[in-house]
Amino acid sequence: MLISGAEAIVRSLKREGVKVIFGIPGGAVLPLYDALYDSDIRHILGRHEQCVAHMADGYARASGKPGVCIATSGPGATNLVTGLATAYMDSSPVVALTGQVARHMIGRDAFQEADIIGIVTPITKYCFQITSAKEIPKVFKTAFIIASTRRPGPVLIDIPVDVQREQAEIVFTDELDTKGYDPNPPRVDIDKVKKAAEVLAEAERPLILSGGGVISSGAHVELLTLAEMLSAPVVTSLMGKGSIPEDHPLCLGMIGMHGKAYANYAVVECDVLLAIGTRFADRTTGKFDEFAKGAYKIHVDIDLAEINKNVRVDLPIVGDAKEVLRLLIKELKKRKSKSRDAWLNRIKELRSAFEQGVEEQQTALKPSSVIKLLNKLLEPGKSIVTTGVGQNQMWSALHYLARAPRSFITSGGLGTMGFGFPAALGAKVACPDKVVVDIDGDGSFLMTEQDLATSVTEGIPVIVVILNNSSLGMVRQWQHLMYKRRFIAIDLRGVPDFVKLAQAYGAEGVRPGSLEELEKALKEAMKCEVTTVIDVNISPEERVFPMVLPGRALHEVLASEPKS
Amino acid sequence: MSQKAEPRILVMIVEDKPGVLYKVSSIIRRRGINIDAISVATTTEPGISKMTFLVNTDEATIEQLTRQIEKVPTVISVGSSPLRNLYSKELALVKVNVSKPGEREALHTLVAKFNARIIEEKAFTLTIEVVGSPEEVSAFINEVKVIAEIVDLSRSGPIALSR
Repeated sequence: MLISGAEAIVRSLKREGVKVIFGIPGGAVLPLYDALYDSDIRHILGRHEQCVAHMADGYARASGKPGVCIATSGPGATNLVTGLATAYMDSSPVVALTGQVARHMIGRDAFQEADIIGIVTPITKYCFQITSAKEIPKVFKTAFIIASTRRPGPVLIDIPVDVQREQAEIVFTDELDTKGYDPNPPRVDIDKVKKAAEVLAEAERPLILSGGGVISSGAHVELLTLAEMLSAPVVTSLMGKGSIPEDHPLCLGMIGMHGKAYANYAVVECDVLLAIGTRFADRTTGKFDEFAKGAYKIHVDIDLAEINKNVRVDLPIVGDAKEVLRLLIKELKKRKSKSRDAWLNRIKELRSAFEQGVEEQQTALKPSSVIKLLNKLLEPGKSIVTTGVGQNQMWSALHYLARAPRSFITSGGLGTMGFGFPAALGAKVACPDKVVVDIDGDGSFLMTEQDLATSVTEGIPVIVVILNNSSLGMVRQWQHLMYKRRFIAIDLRGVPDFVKLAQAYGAEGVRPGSLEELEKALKEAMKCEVTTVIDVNISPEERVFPMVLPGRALHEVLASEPKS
Repeated sequence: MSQKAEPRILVMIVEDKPGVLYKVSSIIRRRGINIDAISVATTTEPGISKMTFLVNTDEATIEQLTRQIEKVPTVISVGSSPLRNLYSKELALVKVNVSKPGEREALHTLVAKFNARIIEEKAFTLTIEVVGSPEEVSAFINEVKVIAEIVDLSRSGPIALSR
């Protein structure tokens, strides 16, 4: 039977179990939209293509399943770029479909033509341009496999409009359209696991560094088992937040530029570091050569290309985190681990030394008190927090206790301002029964606020808590600390009025004047059927500490504001 | 690990599809490495090509490049080696002006010395084909320059096989 390319696309999406698509139509995807008319796939109309990409990304990170977005050719496709680069840096499985001008028009600078394959090749795991409707089933199968297996990542499929219209005899298949990609995780070298078990059992001061790979491989249970077995404290990268319940006594929280000072010191003092599913990003490690300098370093990662890329390690184990951890636990059961009492006491000492003085008055509307209130109100396993980028993100990373995997969603690698809100919408679509809160900044939220329209019209209620300091706060902080307080181009002047802005979209807007009012507003927002924007005014003089200045090592951490 | 930059060959077996060369060369470009020569050709297997790149870089960088390239779904396999450890050959076509007395004879002598071949001889030009290691081809070209004026030159870039 002859069917159209567009119909073949919809059937392929159904075969992959796609239930929802985020998109914006345009000339070059109209045949595809016409085919969606007859399908039961939910389409969520965004207001900017960057947002539909972030929504698909938020959906993917919250659910673990690929998120799908659609944009038309030319500007629609180029607007996806920031979203795809964000997903690429944080290894998130997004499948983007773009329309393209008709085949005979490609290369003629046709209306709304852009060489999107040329543009996204370096920021996608892979991309396809379909040249005949017959290829559709194979390409879609391959795209979803590539996006979601091994180290996940975004894949783009570019489909000329005449291919969508083309009638063809189309055979659906599970065959892959690639010879050079093995979807199975690499085979784990068991000798290396044995060696790792031996080193870890003998370690005096073992430390586990857990990254986003632990979450994407679903290895959080194994991670906790291993940590408890070894009595080894666990630190995380930003992407690793939620891989271990952050209220667990062995969890020290995040390390890095704005990590907890005692977590950073644990890295400095450990003798064996087991890093799992982390790419040793510069924001995590500080100066590469100084990172855990004296420690024997074991690195577990599914991506061979991450081994020795930034930090040289003693024992690399390439494989899926969950599988490696299972094998490691099995090996460690055969061995007797050393007592870690002295090490755990030392950790306790570090923790209390740095926590003193950090404890502040918790009644004023300060970033830390706002986020600690969220810790109290949000139930573990029933809530998701997303963030913008900048101070709001780092305060969230420092103070928010992620107690379940996939409950803390943030743009770690690319640091994309404007990510938090659309990602929250995507997460809410994936998990409609959870409370989804975007902790944002005024600058960050302003970059994607127009999708309040999406949230209201598509019925996706989330809560946006704006830590509003009327400035580009992190830039201000850097100018304060490193550019002699010569503040330039950071003053946002309290524009717009976010309460009125929310109301203009048909959302709720509140501006609480105290912590009690905030608590009341949050409780109401949790019950509210539309999105609530809570505008929390904070001082522009609030800075994020601890901080490791750029290019410095973790032991050079400034625990609090330097005296000037 | 040797931190010394030296000429190295990257060889990959790839699917014969548009965009493979672009993806691989963009991985190399991103690290600021210049590609000194490329050759791409089909293999005995239909749909499969072999690409040979010549780059000048150190061992750690080439290892990182190799691993990144290996991840490309259309790349079936990739390997690298310092040029000196391989059998490598290059072909050059050299067109030379011969106007002064004695030049033609000198070139004939040089061609014999390098086992090269004259593929076209005209009243005022000679076109020579030379095959050899990249160093031999360079040496030949340098000696030709001493004798006469080169008007056109085309080098294939090296292809390589393991020893």
